[in-house]
Amino acid sequence: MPFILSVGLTVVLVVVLTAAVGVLIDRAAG
Amino acid sequence: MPFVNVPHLHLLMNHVPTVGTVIGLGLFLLSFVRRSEHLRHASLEVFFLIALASLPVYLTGLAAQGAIAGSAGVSDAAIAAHHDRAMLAFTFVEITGFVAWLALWQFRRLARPAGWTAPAFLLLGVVTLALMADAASVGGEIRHPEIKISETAIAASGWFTAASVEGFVTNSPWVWPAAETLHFIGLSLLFGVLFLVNLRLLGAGALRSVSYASLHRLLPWGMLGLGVNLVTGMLFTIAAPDQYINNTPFYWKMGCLMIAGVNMLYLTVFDKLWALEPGDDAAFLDKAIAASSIGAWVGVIYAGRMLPFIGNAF
Repeated sequence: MPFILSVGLTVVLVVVLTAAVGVLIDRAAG
Repeated sequence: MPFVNVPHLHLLMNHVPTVGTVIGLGLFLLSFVRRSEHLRHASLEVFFLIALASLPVYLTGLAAQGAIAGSAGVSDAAIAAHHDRAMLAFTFVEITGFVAWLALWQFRRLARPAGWTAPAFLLLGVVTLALMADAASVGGEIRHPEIKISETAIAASGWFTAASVEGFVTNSPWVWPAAETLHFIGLSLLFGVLFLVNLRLLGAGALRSVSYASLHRLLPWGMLGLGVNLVTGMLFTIAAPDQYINNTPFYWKMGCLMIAGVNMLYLTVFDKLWALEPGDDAAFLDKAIAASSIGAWVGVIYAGRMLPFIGNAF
């Protein structure tokens, strides 16, 4: 896979995962 | 000439994660026998502090490896096996510390421990202790002929090894820049949240009209940023240890990180901060702690940025 795509996809994936975990924790707090 | 060098520090500190996990797990079990929420709270704080203290243990271990690998009477195979097991144990001790922090944060919000903490810590505590004991035992094989058991004790340990992590980071050209980008995003999240929370304690501007509890709710976002940075930072350090272990600003960075980490616990659990209503002024001591926390985080960022300029990285 081209360099720029690998970097971009990894960054987007990790940011989305972090946001998803953050939202889950936030909701669990009530 | 200093009388303690970094490998010596590793020998001094390396018992902390193993003994600390025993104490954390012991306090946790005792909290059920004594039916004491205070004890359970204390055990979670121990787990968090052990996770924090395990970082310098790991990093001084890398420095010790750099100092003695290849010397006479030292088994390089045992060093590699110890590193692999320490990396796995470190991963679990950090997960346990993160979950402990989350439980403390929720404890603070609900004023009681959440139901999930008991099964989670029994499992995490026991697994972490087993992995830590294994790492410590193999560490003893490196240069202690009097306790040597057998060569099978230092056999290769599966796919999650320091060499495989190093290969993954250095052989794929995209991993380092992707991790570097994520390290900046994590830093922004972490510093953004903690800057706001500490400015509230300092009573700055409009933030004074916000209750501490509403900003406390943001803390997990900062902790997630710290998690992203711990993972990406460890990728750099394991892949290119020489850039860090002989780099003075790296030790400044870790020192500041320890201060800032303890401060994170302070912001999470203390009653008098939690009680601050809109418009309330924090005590002078809390303001001083908030100012030192901002200073410690700026120190982490500054020393990190200076790695290639004052130090020898890249």
